[in-house]
Amino acid sequence: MSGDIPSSLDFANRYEDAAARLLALLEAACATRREWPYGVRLAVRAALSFLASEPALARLLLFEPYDAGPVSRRHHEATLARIAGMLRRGREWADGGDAIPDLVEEGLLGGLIFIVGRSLRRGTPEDLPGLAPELTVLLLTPYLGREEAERVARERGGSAPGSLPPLPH
Amino acid sequence: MFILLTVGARGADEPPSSRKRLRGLSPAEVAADQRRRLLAALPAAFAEHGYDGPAVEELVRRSHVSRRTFYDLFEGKEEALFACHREALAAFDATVREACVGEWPQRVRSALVATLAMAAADPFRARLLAAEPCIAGPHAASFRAALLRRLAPRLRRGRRCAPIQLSPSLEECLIGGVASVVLFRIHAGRAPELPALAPDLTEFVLTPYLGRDLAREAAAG
Repeated sequence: MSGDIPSSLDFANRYEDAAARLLALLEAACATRREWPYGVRLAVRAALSFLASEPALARLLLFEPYDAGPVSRRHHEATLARIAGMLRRGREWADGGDAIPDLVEEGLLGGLIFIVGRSLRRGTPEDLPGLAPELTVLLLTPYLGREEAERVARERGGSAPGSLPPLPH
Repeated sequence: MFILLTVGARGADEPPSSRKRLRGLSPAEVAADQRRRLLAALPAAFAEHGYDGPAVEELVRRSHVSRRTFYDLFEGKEEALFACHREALAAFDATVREACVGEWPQRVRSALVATLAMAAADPFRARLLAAEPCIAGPHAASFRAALLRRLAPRLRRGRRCAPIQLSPSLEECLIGGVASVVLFRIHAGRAPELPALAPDLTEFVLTPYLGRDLAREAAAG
C-alpha cells in the first residue's frame, strides 16, 4: 500500500529496476526460440520462476504501481505495452491475424496478472511455476486456436529446465 | 430555527448549503440522502488519496455532510466502504441480470454492453467493483472474489458450446482481462470510450468458447 512506499522517487527507481529485469528475461526467452509459440512458452516459465523467487518484486511490479500515483502507473503501462508487443508477434502465426481485435494483448496480460495476483495475495508464490502450462495455453489460444495452443504448452522437448535462460540479477 | 424544525434532528448539523436542499424532507429521507451522498463520494475520495489516505473529514467535506452525521450512519470509513461496495454490487447485479436475455453468446454481449455503459457513466464505482487496491485497500482480494463469484458462473455456461475441454482458469483470465482494459481507459481519462469497446471485448471473451469466426459473428450482433 502507499503507506509502505518511502517516496515516489524511490518507488520509481525500484520499479524501473524490477521491470528492466523482467523485460530482459522475457526478451531473452523469446529470442531463445525461433518459433514464436515456443518463445512464449519459455517466457511464461521464466517469468513465473522469477516472480516466485522474488515475491516482493512481484508485488512491486503487479500491485503497487496502481497505488503509487500517476507517474508510476504510466511506467507500468509502458512496461505492459512492451510485453504486449512481444505477444502481438503472434498475429503473424494466426490465420487472419490482422483481424484479431487490437485490445486482445492488453486483455490477455490483464487476465494473467489477475491470476498471478491470486497466488501472491494468498501468500503462495511458490505455486506460480505450476501455472505455466495453463497460462501458456491462455496466451496462445487467440492466435493458434485452443488445440494447437494446448499441444505447444504440453509438448515434451524444448521445455527442459536447462533450456530456460538464467534469471537476471 | 425553522430549518431545524423542518429538517429534523438528523439535518440539524448539516452545512448551510445542504440545509436548504433538505428543507421539507422527513428525518428518514434526510438520512437516506446523507447516506447516498456519502457513498457516492467515497470511491472518488479513496481513488484520489488512497485507502489509507482520506480521513473522515475528507469524506464529509466531499459529501457535504457533517462529521457527526457520518458517525450516525457508519462506525467508520471501513464500514462505509463495505456499504458502498454492497450498493455497487447490487446495481451491477441488476444491470447484468436485466441484460442477460437470449442465447448464451447474446447474453455475454448484452452484459458487456450494459457493464461498459455503467463504467463509462460512473468510473469511480467501476474502479471499486474491479477491486482496485487504492480504493479497496486490504479488502481488494475479497472484492475481487465477489466479482468472480458473480461473473464466472455465467461465463462458465459457455463451456457447453466448446468442443474441447477449456483451461480451469479461463473465466478468471477473461474477467481479469476485461477489468484491466476498463481500468486502463478510466485511468487514461478515456472512460467515455468504453461503450465503443463492446464488440472487441465480446469477441475477446467469446473466442475461447466458440472459436474466432463464431465469436466475431456473435460480437457483431
